[in-house]
Order: sequence, then structure tokens, then C-alpha cells
Amino acid sequence: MRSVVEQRRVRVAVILALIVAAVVVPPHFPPFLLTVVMLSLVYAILAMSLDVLMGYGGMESLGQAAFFGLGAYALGILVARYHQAWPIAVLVGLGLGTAGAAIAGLLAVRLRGLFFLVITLAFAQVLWGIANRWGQMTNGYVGLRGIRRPYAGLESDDNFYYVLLGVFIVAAFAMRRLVTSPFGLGLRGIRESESRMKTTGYNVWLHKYIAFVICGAFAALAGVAYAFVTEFVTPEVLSITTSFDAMLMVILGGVGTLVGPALGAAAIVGLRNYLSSYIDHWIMILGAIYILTVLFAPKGIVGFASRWWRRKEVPEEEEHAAVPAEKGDLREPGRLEPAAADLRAITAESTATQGNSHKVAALQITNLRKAFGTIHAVEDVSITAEVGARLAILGPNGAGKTTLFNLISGLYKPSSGDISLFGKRITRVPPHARAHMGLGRTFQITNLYPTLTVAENIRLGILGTRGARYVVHAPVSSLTSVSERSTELLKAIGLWGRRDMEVRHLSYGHQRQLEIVMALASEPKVLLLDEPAAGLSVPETTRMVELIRSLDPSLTLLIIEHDMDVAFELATEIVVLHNGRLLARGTREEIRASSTVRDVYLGHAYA
Amino acid sequence: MTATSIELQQWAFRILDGLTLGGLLFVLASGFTLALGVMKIVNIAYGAFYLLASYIAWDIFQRTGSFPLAVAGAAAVAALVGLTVQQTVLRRLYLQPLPQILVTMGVALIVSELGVIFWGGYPRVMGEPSWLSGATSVFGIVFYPTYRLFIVGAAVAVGLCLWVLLERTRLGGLVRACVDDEEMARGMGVNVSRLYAGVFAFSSLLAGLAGGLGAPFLGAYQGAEFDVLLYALVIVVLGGLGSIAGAAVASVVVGILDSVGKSLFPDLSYFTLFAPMILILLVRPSGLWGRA
Amino acid sequence: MKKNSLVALGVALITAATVLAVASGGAAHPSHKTALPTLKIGTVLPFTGVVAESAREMQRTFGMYLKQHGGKLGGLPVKVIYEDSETKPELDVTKTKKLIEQDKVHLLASAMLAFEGLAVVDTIAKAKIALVGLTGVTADEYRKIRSPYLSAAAKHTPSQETFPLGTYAAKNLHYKTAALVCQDYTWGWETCGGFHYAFQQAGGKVVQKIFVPIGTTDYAPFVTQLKRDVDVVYTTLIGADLPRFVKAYQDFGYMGKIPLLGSEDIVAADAYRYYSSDAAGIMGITPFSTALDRPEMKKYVAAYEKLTGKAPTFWGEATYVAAMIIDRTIQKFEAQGIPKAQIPEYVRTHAQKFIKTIRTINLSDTPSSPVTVDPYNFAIRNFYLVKLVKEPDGKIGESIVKTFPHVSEFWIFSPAQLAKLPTFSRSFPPVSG
Repeated sequence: MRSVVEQRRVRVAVILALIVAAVVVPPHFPPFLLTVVMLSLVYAILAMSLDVLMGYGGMESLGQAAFFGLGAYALGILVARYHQAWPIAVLVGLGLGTAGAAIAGLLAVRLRGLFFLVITLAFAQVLWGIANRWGQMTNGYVGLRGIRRPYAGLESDDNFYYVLLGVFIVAAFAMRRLVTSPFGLGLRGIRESESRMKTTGYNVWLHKYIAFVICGAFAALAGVAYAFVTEFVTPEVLSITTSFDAMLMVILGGVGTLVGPALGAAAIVGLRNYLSSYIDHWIMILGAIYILTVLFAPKGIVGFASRWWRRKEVPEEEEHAAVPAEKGDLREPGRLEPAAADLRAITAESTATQGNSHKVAALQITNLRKAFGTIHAVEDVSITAEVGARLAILGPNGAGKTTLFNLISGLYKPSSGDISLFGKRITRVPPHARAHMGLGRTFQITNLYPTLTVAENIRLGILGTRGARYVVHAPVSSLTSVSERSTELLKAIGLWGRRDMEVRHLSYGHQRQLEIVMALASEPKVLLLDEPAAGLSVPETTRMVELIRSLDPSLTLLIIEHDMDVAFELATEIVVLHNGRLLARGTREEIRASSTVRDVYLGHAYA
Repeated sequence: MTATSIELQQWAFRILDGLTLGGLLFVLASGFTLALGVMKIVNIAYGAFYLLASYIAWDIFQRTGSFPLAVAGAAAVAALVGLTVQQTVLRRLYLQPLPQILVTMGVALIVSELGVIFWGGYPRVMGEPSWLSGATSVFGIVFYPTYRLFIVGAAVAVGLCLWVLLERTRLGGLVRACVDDEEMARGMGVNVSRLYAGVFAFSSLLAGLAGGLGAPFLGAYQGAEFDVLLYALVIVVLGGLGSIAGAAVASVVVGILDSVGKSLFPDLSYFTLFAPMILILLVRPSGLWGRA
Repeated sequence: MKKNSLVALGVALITAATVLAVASGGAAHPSHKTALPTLKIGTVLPFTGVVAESAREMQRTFGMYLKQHGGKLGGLPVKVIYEDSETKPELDVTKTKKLIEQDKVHLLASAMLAFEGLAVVDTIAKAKIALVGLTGVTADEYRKIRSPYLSAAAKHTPSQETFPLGTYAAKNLHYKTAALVCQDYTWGWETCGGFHYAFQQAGGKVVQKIFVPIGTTDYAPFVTQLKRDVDVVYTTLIGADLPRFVKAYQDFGYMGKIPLLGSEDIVAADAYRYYSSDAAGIMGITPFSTALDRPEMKKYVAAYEKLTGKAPTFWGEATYVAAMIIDRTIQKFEAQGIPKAQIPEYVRTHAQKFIKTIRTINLSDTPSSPVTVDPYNFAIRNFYLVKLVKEPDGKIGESIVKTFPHVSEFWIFSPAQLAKLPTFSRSFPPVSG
């Protein structure tokens, strides 16, 4: 992630380039080159739409050509065959492409990886087949010609160029807005960790689906533009080579940069039109480009360019923090921080609205069972946690503790049994909905969003339970309440100075801390902490305990811990699991005194 | 000839057409499934290997008239090309699906262009050896082309071979161990990189074998590299990633649906391949035999 | 990590370099101060893709004509600029534009595949430049379009080719019922349509019509559907589909039992070379055959074989004839008094006149047939019924069975009659009963 200064530099450079393009290009370039430039703009829109899907959303698709083709054909057929007015044709073209994405998305979005790739490719291929066969409508193999541009004046490429440039700028701007919006941030979070996003409150499937449809709409826009530029459409627009070319443009330009794929499109279109004049079997060069790009330039052109830009690498979390201490920042480098009081202030807000009587249990687990084949990970477990409880869950490895948490948070479905949150049954409720009902959790193995910054991680935590997460048109930074809360949280744990650092560069200790704060960001009422002190050194553990102690008393906590001292310090009640079953339950003293527990877990030596 | 027996004949043809197409599809897809299941490699160049092998088989058969030589030659060349690609390029991209896909796309473009350079773009359909030409009586109902029946036999043989290799030999056991837990296998002293090279070479060999066997059936033509790839993808997705049994069942299903569909609804020919796939995936997203 | 970025930079540099080179290249061509200006001809062909080999043949035959005439057409030095369309219509358009605007060609001799001609028909009209169409102008679309910038004198319409066969099959071969197997696109619809219509008009009945998508890999389901009680089967298939169909026809026992007729594709030397000997008996109607007992053809075949060692096909003849057309039309211009030095510019600025003048030149000596050009810029020419025969050495050869002289696009029907018909498509003419 580039720093703010770098971002501004890039933005200025891009705008300058655009001005140059708009003013200088048409009068001075030969007409043929102008055609190539126009095609580049069209493919740039297509490539950018794929980049949003792939680079930001992590959904690698070979099907954008499908919506590109739908847009192109719809427009072509309406204009050339039915002589419709261009506004109608354009609207139908966009509509049809978007509808195609809506339908394909229903099938595709629940798949991942290879399956997603194949299904999206299959969709494009089916449409290709239709285009070839449905001669009456599409003219088949031969193609659809005579797609006249809207006004006689636009027949001239010089004039039409400006229209196209305008469309490109609007599309690029819109996509840029999309990726910097809360929705876009959510996409990137999903790319990094779907499980965390789910437990933070995001309806991951819906989010991906909406993104898929929006990207399909942009691809359709590119298709509509294409039809007007070439005034001729053939099934080639839906072919496997178009699907792959789009992907190459994205990779060559630089995944996840938006600007990169636009450049990649220009490069490929330019090469295709020029190199093929001079070299026989230029296809082999294209093949070589595929191979070399992937092997030696996986970050693409933009990746290369940003090396020149970057003056210094973002520092690892070490003693010499390159970022100077902020005023009022109490931390010392390398140490876990913050004033316990600050955290209490934050969490108090979230639980302050708790007016409910303490009669209803915060969390009720009844006869919960989870079997993986013949392995009974959790067997007939019943636990009640009152509001404000501090419950520790102990047990040897493999006892089923994390499985239990996964069941409670909804990442696993129980084989039988029930779970209720504040009296409401949540057994069938999906994980994101449970988050909205006030459930939060941290993960035993740090589950943050590695390539996103600290600030972005926290924002995702905040947005999870807010409607604003669906905002597509405004940048995240414009949501003041989110920014304020995130600032608050960051300062509270002393990571304000590192807010623009990628989370994967944080020290382990800070990451564990961030785990908890992120869970707190969504203002949960019941919080599941899975081994919060895992892997921490002794002083770091002490700090962690203080942090947890400082949480608001009305927050219900369930803590899985291995470290006996930590567990006994934090909890008022202990539950011990063994082989998936509830072995014992009671106060600290009761558990300490229990010989069954001792035998199974503590060993005779513990006195 | 009564109406019912004509009807019976028609259906016999349809089923046989489907089975034989399914047989070829299985031979086509088996290598692809193997590479995918064991090494998680999506080999986009698989179809190009098939194409190259087809041209070579045709060429050898033209010159020597020997069918076994043609098929063996095709398979050998394909294995060699595959091994080269794996050693030079794929090895560095282990477990990165998208880079693999793009790189193998590049290989596909290069290899298929070789087809144009050496054999022109003209489609070549290989002849069959005389001992496999003509027609055989099938249960006395119809006379069916012998070569197509041979393909079914070949498919069964390939399937059995693969099964025996994977399930009943030590080598197969090692391969399966790697699929389950590569680190463990490495830790136990298995030379994993050599194993993988071997698997990929074998997968390419199967592509070559398909090329040789398919040359009289589909022929060698520009465009085969993507047609064949598409078939392989469909089979693999339908059958479940990396499952040989799934690929076998899927091949038969696709073959029969495709030929019956084409015969009953010729207007929908193009969909007969994809529509069933999409429908089945709606119900079982991980394929017939796949693990979720 | 230098390696990392080097290639990305390299790609960017290549792009920039070629863009600059070509952008400046258009103007930088040194103009020789010779007496005669060079006639520049633009040709876009699919050198990459399914028909790459045939595209190269077309390039060679054009060169062959030039060589036979001292590198000149109409006495003017010629430069032919070739571009690759990669079988993508989008590139047809951009490359054609490049040839027109950047290389400033004076005319085009282009369009190999059906859609290629259609792709550029608007471009040439906008640019007001003449196009001598090659094989890609055989769709009936062109009849509908009737562009004054397009000459299809080197070719004919699809139905023009099959009308005679349809009539012959019914009248002379006495076939009463027929089944048709047609590739599902314009060329297939129109050739089948032509056969169908003429067959019907002559008293025959088409009882079955099967449309096959281009690139069908398995022909078994289609062949097994064919009715076994028809008198004859006619087929139009292209590319790899054709040998597959012929093979399936044989495998399933139709070969030799039910006569098989086809368009020029089925009796092209490149195709039948690989048929088994059971294919003897197949007949096809074609405008071109190397077996023609015609001195012009014999010379053409000899010259091409000397050049390449291979026999020519109908693809190459189109460009050869295109060169001939350009040659003689320019000579006509010169006969009209236009000074040689001004001809290239004149050709460029008087494109419609160029096309019209083509109708007046003498084309009686093209390799395959004497040609006259009808008022619609299409050729009136001979067609030949070719039968495949088994040679003594076991291979397949061809022999001409019948010549249909001076066939126009209307055949024996009147223009008015044909004008009333809908275009030949999947639904027309319909199957009987």
C-alpha cells in the first residue's frame, strides 16, 4: 500500500497524462494510431473491471468477456438490425450485460478458485456458442456489421475519440471511487480473510455477488463502447482468447492497481496491432510475453514503476521506528501499550446501551454436538454464560475448544444441539448475522488482513455491523464517524503512529493486540477470545491481561486459554473440556481442587 | 424392418456414440485430472500437447503406416515437451494457480503455433490401421465402427492402469501421500520434486496418448488446443477435482448427453456440452465426486 | 530484484519503440524520383489461424503473377503491403484502416473469409477506396449490399455455384429425394440453399436438412441421423469438419451406398488427398480444378508447382485473378488517355470508376474459366462437376465429368424470380414434408 504522499504523486501524474492524452493526441497522431488508442481505451475499461474483481476482490475470473460480449451484441443488434435510437440501445446493452452477470453470479460466486475460474469461462463459452449459432439474431460466424454511431458528426474518429475518452474517464473515476469506498474496502478484506469478515458482520456471499455484478456492468460498458468503435461485432468478442487477454492485461499492468491494467490493455492492443505487421508468427511472441510476465514481472508495469517511486521501504516493527512518536502517544517502541483506562472508555460505549435485564443469559449452549465423520469434536456440551460473565474454557489440545468457538460464531454448523444469544436461537443463523446480534471473536491463529494497513483493518471491524459498508460511491475517509472511532481505537492501543503500516509488518505482539481491538470495533456484547496470549512473551502477556481486565464489565467474555495463570487471573468461572466433552465446571477454587481435572489436565505434579 | 427396430437402432447408435465419445473424453481428461489432482496444476497447454501429439501421430502414420508406432511416438514427444515445460517454468510456480494458468497459456500459444509452422494450418484426420477399420456387429443390433469401439477399450485400459498405479503400487502410494500431506512426505525422505516431475511427465504422456488415439477421431487442427482443453475442463469440473473415478463417470455422462442431445435436438448442439455441466454444478457445486 | 522489473520495462519499451517507429514510418518512406510512381496495393489476410496455409498460398500466387509480368501491373511498379488479420474481424478493420490511412495504398485486394469482407465493407465506403474482393466475398450479403466500391469479379455467389448441381442432380442423375448436411453459417446456408432451390425447381424433394455448428468434433450423431432411404446426400462443410464427416460417412456404412455430393470444398485436392480409396465416387461442384484440360490452367499449375512443389487450390487463384484484374483495368485506364504517372492517384480518387471499369475488361484467360463480369460486379463463369476417382496407385484423383459454361448468379432463373425469394438461411428453403 502506498503512502499518502505517493498516492498524491500518482494521482497528479495520472491526471497530467490524461490531459495530455485528451488535448495532444488526436490532431497529431495518424488515424490508424487513433483507432488503436480508441481500442486501448475500450479494453482498458474491460481490464480495469477485471482488476476490481480480481485484484481487489480476489475473484479470478475468465468470464468478463461474457458481459463484454453481451453488451457489444445487444448494442449491435439493436442499432444495426432494429434501428433503435442509441440511448435505448446503450441502456439495453448495459442492462443485458449486467443481467448476465447477475445470473452468472448466482452460479459462480459461491465457488472459489479453480471452480470459479472454470464456471466463469464456461459462461463465456456458452455465450460464444450462442453467438455463433443464433444466426438469425447475431449473423453467426460472419458477424454483425453496420453499427452506426449516434450522430453523423461522430462518424469521424477524431470526434468520436472525445466521446470515448469521456466515457473512459467516467468509468475509471467510478471504479476508482468503488475501490476506495467502504464497499471496496470490504472487498479487499474478503480477499484477505473471508472467515474474519464473516464474523465481523459481512455477508460475504452478498458482497462478492454485488461486486461481481458491478464489474459485469463495467465490462458491458466496455462492450457497448467496442461496438461503436469498430462498428462491427463477431463472436470473437466472446472467445477464450478475449477472456485470457483481459487477464494478461491485468497481470502485465499490475494486479490491484487499476492504473496498471489500463496500461496493460494499451500495451497488448498496441503490440497486437503493430508487432503483427512486422513479425510472422507473432502469436509466439504473445505466448512468450505471457510466460515472461508471470515469471519475471508478476507485479507488472506498475509494480516496476512504484519501485522508482518508493524512497524507503516501510519499516519492520522494530526498535528504530521510522515514524516519530505522536504527541500524546504514550507508547515506547516495541512494547505493548496503552492506558487501561482508555480501553474501558471505548468499550463502555458499546455496552452502555445494554438496558436488558440480567435474567436472560448472554450465551446459552445446549447439548451441542459436532462430528467430523467419526470424530466427535464436540460432544454434548452445555454452557450458560450470564451477562458480564468472565468464563475461561480450558482443556488439553484437541479437546474441542476452538471447534466450540467456531460453532458459536457460526463458522461450523453443529451436528445437533442449540445455541442462543440473549434468548434468541442462533443455531441456524449465519455468522455475519450473529455479529450483528452482538457476537464478536478473535482467532487463535492471528487472522487479520495481512496486506491491508492497521487503519484499514480497524475500519473493517467498525464497518462490519454498519450499513455504511455497502456505500460504493464515496471514499472511506469521508465517513467521519468511522474515522473518528478508528482514530479513537488506534490511539487507545498506541498504534496510531503505525496506522498506515501493513499489518503483516507488525510485530507479533501488536498483531495479537490488534486482533482484540478489531473484535471490539464492531461493538460486541459477547466476545470470544481464542488464546489471546498465544505466543506472547511474559511481559507482553501481562500487558494483554491488563488490557482484557480493562474491558467493560457488562461485556460477556469467553476466553480459551492454555496458560493457567492467565485463565485464573481473568476468569470467574472455568469450564474444562476433554475429548469434546464437558469435564468440569465451576469457580476457580472448585476447579483447582478438582482431582478429575488435575488428573486429566494438570498432572499430579501440580499442587 | 419394423418401426420399433429402427427406433431401437437409432437408440443403439445414440448410446454407442455417447459411450465412444465418452471413452475418448476420458482418455483426454485423465492426464489433466492427474496433474490437477496431484500437483494442483491447471495446465492450459494440455490441449496444445494434444495437438502437437496428433500432428506427430499423423505424420508418423503417413510415413510408416504403423499405428502403434504413431501413438507411441506421439505420447513420447508429448511427455518430453511436458517434462521440459515443468522443469523450466512450472517448477518455480508451485501452488500458485493463476500464474500457472497464465504461463501454460503462453506455452499453449507457442506450441500450437509450432503446429502451423511444421504442418501448415490444414486439418489432418489420421486414417485407422486396417485391423481396426470397418464395422463390428454390436449385439446383433447395429454395425458400429470398430475404431470407436476400440477407443472404449483403450479408455477402460487407461482407467484401469491409472487405478492400479495409484492404488496398488508403492509409487502410487507415494503420490497419494504427497497429495495428502506433502511436507510429511518430504520429511519422510520422498524426493518430492522428482515425483512431481514424473507425474507431470506422465500427465503429458496421457495427453499425447489421447492425441495419438484421437487423431483418427477428432483429427489434428488449429483450434484443437482449446477445444480439447475445454472438454478436459468440463470433465474435471463435473467429475470432481483430481478424481479419476469422477472423471470416468463424468466422461460417460457428458458423452451420452452430448450425442443424445445432438441427435434429438440438433438445434441445441452447442449447449449439449455445457448445459448439463451447469445444471449438475447447481446441485453439486464440487462436482460429482469432489470433496467440498 | 532487477530481473523482476526488467521484463515489464522491456515490454513497455518495445511497445513505445514500435509505436514510434511505425508512427514515423508512414512518412519516412523515401520517394524515389523515378519516372513512374509505385502502385500500392493493400492486402489483409489471416496469416495466423485456421486457414493460415491457404493465406500463404494466396500471397504466393499474387507474387507469381507479378513476377510473370516483370513486377508490374499495367506497366506500373507495384508494392503489395500485407497485413495479418489473425482471423479476427476487429483486426481486419484496424489493419485495413492502417493500410488506407498510414500506408496510403491506392486500392485493396483483400478479404479471404466471408466475414472479412463484410467487416471492411463500411470502411472502404467511408474511405471511398476500391476493393477487389478475394474469396471472402461470396456471401449473398454482398448481393444485398451492392457496394459500388467492391468488385467480386474474382469470385461468385455461393448459390451461383450450387444451382447447377441441384438442377443436374434432379434432371440428369434422376435423384428424387435428397438429404442435406450444411455447416451452420452463411456459406453453408447459401450453398445448401442454392442446391435445395434448384433441386426442388427441377422436381426433386429435399426430405432432410441438418445444420452442423462449425467445429463439431464428433460427427457420429449427425451421420447416424441421416435417412438411409434418400437418393443422394449433399454437404457443405469446411475445415476439419469435412474430413471428419467424410470419415464418419464411411465408418457408418453410407459411403458407396448413398451417393455423396458436395461444394468445392469436398473435391479440393488438399481435402481428397487424405480420403481413403472408398471415397471414389464422391462428386463436387467447383469453380477450380487442376485436372481441367485448359491451357491456361495447365500453365498456372506448372508455374505454381515449380514455385512451391505443391499443387495450387482455388484459394490461390482468387489472388492471381485479382492481380490480373488490376493489371488490365489499369491498362484500360491508360487506353482512355490517363497518363501513367497519374494512374495510382487516379485509381485512389476514382474508386467507383475503377470498379465499373472492371466490368469492361477481358478476362477470358483466367486459369480456371473465361470470366465476364455482370452489372452487379459478380463473375459469370464456368463451373465444373468433379468426380473423385481411384487412380491405379490406389490414391484418389479427380476427373471432370461435366462443365457448366457461363453460369451467372441467377443460373436459369430470372433475376425477378430470385429477387422475390427470402435470403437462403436455416429456414429457407424449407424441408418438404
